[in-house]
Amino acid sequence: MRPILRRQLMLAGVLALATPAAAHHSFAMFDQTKLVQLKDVVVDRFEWSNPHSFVVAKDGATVYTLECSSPNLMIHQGWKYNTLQAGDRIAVSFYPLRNGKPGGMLKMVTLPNGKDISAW
Amino acid sequence: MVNEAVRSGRRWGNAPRRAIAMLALACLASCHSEPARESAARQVDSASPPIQPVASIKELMDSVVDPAADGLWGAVATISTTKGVERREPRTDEEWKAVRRHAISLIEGMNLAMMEGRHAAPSGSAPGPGESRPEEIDAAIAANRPEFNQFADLVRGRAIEALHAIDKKDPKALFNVGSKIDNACESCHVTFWYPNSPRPAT
Repeated sequence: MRPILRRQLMLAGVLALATPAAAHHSFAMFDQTKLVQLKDVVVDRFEWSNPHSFVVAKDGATVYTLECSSPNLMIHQGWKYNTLQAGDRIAVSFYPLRNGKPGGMLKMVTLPNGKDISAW
Repeated sequence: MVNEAVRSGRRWGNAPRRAIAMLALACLASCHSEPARESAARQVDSASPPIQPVASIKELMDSVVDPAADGLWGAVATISTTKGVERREPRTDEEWKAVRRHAISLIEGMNLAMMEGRHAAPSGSAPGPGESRPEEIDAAIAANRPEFNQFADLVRGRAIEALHAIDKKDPKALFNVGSKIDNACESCHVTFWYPNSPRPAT
């Protein structure tokens, strides 16, 4: 599948964007009054990409798509392209999507080595 | 005979040559004001070409800017899945050429975005989540056109950086400028499109 199409499908399926630019959106779709915490999820996919990176994590049968900041900003928080790998067991906290779908804006990750790292 | 003819030609041949030369000078002199007027007319035309914005900025973003930006952003990435790690980047001349087209579209898209008279969004269209209404965005841009143009100029500059990275076939530089493009776009969006949307709490 073409990269752009794959990205658009991911974004369209999870975030249902409606903005000046499809890749850009306001933060209103995330409920920043709620913070969801999942203690033990498995990384299914980590996309180190612009304009945002993504972590796709499984909690049992539920698949969460979690949006991060852009790589240049994440680098300042200590992220690298290989900070996460598929199969890693991590804890996450995120602001959930208002539409109730499993996903949101990733706030914090606890890495397999126990280190906390912010995604914004 | 020949010599005579040659001599004759030399003697009498000068007259027609002078006549032609004088005619040319006269023509040049008489025609001089005409090209000047034409040149002036062309300058007037070039100063105010018949440009007419048709699409709104939102439609321009949807049709030109966003596909171009997505093309740049999607060109370089590292993706870890259960199947392994994919390092995505242009590798062939054709792939680089395809990405270059996106850079050109983004650069010129910003020129289009800066055109006066273009509305923010189709009148009466529903704003997206957290966005201002179209007439509010129009008013905000009209109240601060220089800042709007500054943002567009910033995006254009970042896109030119991307173009340079592409011409050097440097995927790392292209990836790095991708985030800068995002930041430049976002600066404009949070100022004019969704100024009241809460920013991520870090």
